[in-house]
Amino acid sequence: MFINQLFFIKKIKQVTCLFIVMFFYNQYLYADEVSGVLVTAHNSQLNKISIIEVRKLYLGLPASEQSGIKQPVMNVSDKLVYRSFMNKIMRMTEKSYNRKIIKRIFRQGADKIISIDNDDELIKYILENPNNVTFMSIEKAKHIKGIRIVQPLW
Amino acid sequence: MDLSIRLAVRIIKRLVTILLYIILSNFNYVMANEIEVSGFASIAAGTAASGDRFLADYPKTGVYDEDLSYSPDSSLGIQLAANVNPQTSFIIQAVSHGANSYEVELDWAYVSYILNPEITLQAGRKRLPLYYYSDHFDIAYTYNWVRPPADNYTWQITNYNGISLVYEPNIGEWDALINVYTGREDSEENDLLSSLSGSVVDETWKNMFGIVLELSRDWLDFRFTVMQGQLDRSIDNVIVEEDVKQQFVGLSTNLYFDSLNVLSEINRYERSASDIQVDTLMLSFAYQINEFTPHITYSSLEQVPNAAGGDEKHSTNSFGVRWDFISNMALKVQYDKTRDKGQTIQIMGDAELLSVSLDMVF
Repeated sequence: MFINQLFFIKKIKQVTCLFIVMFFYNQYLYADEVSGVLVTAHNSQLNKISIIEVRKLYLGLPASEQSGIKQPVMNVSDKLVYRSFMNKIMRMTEKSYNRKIIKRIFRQGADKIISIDNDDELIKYILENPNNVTFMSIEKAKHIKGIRIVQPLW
Repeated sequence: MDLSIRLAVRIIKRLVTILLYIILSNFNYVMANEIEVSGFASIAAGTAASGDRFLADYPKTGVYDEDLSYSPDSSLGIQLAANVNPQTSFIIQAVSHGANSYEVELDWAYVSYILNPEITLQAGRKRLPLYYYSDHFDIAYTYNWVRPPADNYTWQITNYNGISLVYEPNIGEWDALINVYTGREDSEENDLLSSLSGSVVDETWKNMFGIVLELSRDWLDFRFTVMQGQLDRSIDNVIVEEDVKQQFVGLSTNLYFDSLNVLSEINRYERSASDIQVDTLMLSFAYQINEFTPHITYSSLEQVPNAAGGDEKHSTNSFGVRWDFISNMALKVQYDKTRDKGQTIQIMGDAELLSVSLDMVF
């Protein structure tokens, strides 16, 4: 029994050492330069929220009553903006994000996050669903009629 | 008391079945997005490359033999989430497992009430969150393997009826999840124990109280779990264990780098009065190259030998490839080699398995 415990402790030590090596080995580089903003329809009644709350919204947690936000919409029409959003706001890879969302849907019955991969469809959806939000580059948001910038994101 | 609880559980199950029928027969209502429909499926096939049999799924006793078999790892699940109001929802998940002759089982059936954006109270039937992959064990799309390492997931009780409180705060830069739960499960003619012993084994896990802590940040993911409760067991209607205290402790650490994933899990199950202590361990490396994710895994289970002759001991080396060829679908191929090293307790003996699966979520 004592030998078994020693073996178990030895294994834990080996795994811990491995993680420490991996920790220092890992290097992340984010070189995206595009600025992103949170947007909604012009007739929405929304208040600014913290970046943490934006992150929670996109992780499938409910929005606070004060924010007035109904649902977040994932913009996958612009790959650069999408990648920046994943890196700077969600702080995880696309694969990790998808895994988290699927787990949340089946573990906690969370609503699916609506995902739109076409610019025109995304804008149409936001305009037709007041109080829903999405993200896009600030340059694009400034030039789209009917879209209101709620706040800068990154 | 036990009889009344079992009766209540049966009544709840029947009510849920009726509700499921009502929901499905009112499809227009479903289509109006009042009810969210989600699902998952796995179509798997495999054959034991050596050894007579390979136990791939302990809880449901999914066993491959020398013939090509499609049942042990195949499953289909449908989840319906009905929003009663913005705070309250009713969630049911019906799953059909090949290992259980495709009988439909209600793995999840619970009411969820959002107390505030960070705290949710849930009551009903849920998966028992012991191991890291316990509560999404059936959703194979969420992991790289065809199935989570079998040596680790040797639990005979997979669900519980009870109450669960989930708190999801942010602690600095960390996402946290704290889940506190309590409940019980009565398993008549338990699949795993009855199959392994060749007798009719009824098992009850009662007075369960557990805590799960999850912390994640960027590419780092920790999970700690502890559960304690009592066990009743009868073999061929003869009570062999009653009110026996049991405890489960587990720790997982996962690193999700851009391409490289390192997954680990260490667990200990103890039933001191029965002189039982079982340690499980898993370490896996995966490296994503575009749509392909090759992976290699070592897992083991070791029981501390006891006076009753308990010396279960087995380990598995696995390697495989996951191919995400289209959104929400993955094709996997896997090879497993298990060494069964128990002197008194041999589960299935040494064996090798070749398996392939198509996993999806919708």
